[in-house]
Amino acid sequence: MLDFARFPEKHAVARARSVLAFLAILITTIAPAAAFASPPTFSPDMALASDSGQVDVQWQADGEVTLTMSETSRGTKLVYKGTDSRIFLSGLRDGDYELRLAGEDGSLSEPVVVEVRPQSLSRALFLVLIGALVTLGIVIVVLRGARHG
Amino acid sequence: MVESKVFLDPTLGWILLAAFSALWIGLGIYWGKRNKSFEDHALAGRNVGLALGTATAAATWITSNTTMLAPQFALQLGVWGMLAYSTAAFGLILFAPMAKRIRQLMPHGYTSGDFFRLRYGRVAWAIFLVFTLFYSLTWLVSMAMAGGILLEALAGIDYAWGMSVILAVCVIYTMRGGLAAVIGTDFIQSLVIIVGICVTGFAVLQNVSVSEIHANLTATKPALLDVLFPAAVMAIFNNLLFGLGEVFHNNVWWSRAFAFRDGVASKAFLMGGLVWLPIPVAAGFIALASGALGVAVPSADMVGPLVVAEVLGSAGAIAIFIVVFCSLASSIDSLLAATSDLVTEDIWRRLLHPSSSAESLKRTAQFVTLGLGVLTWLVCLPRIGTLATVLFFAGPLVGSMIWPIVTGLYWRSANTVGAVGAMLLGAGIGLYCYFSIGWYVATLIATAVSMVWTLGACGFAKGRFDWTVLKEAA
Repeated sequence: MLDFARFPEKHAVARARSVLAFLAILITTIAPAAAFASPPTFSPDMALASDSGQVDVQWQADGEVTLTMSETSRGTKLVYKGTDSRIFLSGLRDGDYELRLAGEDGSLSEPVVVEVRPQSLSRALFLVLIGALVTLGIVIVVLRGARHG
Repeated sequence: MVESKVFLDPTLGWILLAAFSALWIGLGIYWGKRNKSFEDHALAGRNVGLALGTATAAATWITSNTTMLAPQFALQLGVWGMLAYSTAAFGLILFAPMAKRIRQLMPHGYTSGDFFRLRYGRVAWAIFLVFTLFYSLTWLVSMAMAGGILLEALAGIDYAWGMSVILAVCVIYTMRGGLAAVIGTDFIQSLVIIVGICVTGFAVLQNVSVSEIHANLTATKPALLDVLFPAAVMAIFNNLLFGLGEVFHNNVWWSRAFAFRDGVASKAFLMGGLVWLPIPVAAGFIALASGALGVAVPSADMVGPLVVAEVLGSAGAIAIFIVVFCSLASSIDSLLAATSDLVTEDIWRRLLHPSSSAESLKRTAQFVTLGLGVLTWLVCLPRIGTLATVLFFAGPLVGSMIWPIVTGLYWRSANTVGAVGAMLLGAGIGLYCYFSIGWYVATLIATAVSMVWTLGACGFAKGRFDWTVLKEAA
């Protein structure tokens, strides 16, 4: 370590400059690292595929984050801004959605892509048909039974 | 966007919790003084009138799941999801003529278990008991969990404490007052719930218009407005059949059919169903408004309370706190009472102690209520799973019992082979579909398989059931 007390008087200005320069280097190199330790990251447990248009987005971050979502062939939109660590998205149509987090300092997460592939509509309509028949059967049995009971 | 936060001062939350707890327990003790026998305790002396009957049918069906799960359905599945939830009203409406039939066939009956035992024999009865106890515990767990989550979200009361207090209060007044206390508190609770939900719906519309909600959904959640959204379309009949299965089999509803005065049951269930029908639509609507209101939803099962607390502020938070507490209590007490009666009548009296006196049966029912409460508390404490997942796991089981019950009440050709096969095959295949496809088809498949088997068994049956067997003396 330097012992400034041993320096002669005429070097006082130079000494002060040296101290300021040392502090400046210290602030510019160490302080940002302490305040913004790491960029936000998506939780590794997050499901990246959905057949019902729903995504439970979870992340880890220090402080406020901004979550944006880009859909194939469409623009990027803001989904969330705040200090929570998860958000539930629903009503997404068939497509690929790129999600990205930005921290308070502008640091960006690695993007994740969520694939939404809805279930077969023909299967859904087939199940509706079965449901209607089963329900109709129950109604008939109850109402006929009540009538003749 | 807003962040999740507590909307009610925790001290105020605790004061409200204490005040309503004292009220319900006080009423339970007061009404319990009239109960001398098991019949008084379990069936309120078989003398419940139309006003109380209608209120208890509606209030019991307005569960915490109506206030929590209906908004969750709307947020996940859109307009179809909201309507799908409201189809559960048809369970009560269709049970109206069945309740009349039950009273005619079983004038001395106590439980739905009595019906299975007398109509189909002990094997079918045992399967029924396993299914219904699993379902009842699942329902209890989902409601107690919802209570803890809601109190935490609204007032910052720790989940474990909130859940424990709600459960303890319901256990105490149900133990003391039996079905009379349950039905009496249901009457008060149903009035509070209906007023609260109406106020909430109007408050949401004061903050955001329907056109704004529509525009927001179109821009951010377009699939929720899609008429052909596959997951939502599949949920419609699945939910309807789940509702039918829940009402048709469970002793919550059978015990009311036995408890209502002659000529009251069918009217009370019909009116209760009609009162209930619009409530999930109102509750679901507020979830669809979440985006337009700028409410960020961290978890689907939290959308209801978050939106309500956002639009109503602190005064509204007090109102929703009371509504939620009432809807939880009105269902937990009913389920505790009905399930304890089922265990007391079907297992304790019929299997273990046939010569039990009326007074000792009443005491047994009280201890069973306490045991159920403790068991539910233990399951709820770790807070596992979302509400929908927990509840819908029981869907295939209740769906598989619809056809054995309906045909058993009206067709002499319905038989044991049909009932046992329908329940086992229906539930088995339904559960397989639950895991391989999703919860939104499980009940539908289970009911369809059960129907095919039951119809086949009835078609090949040679014997004809003697209805007088069901008139077994108590």
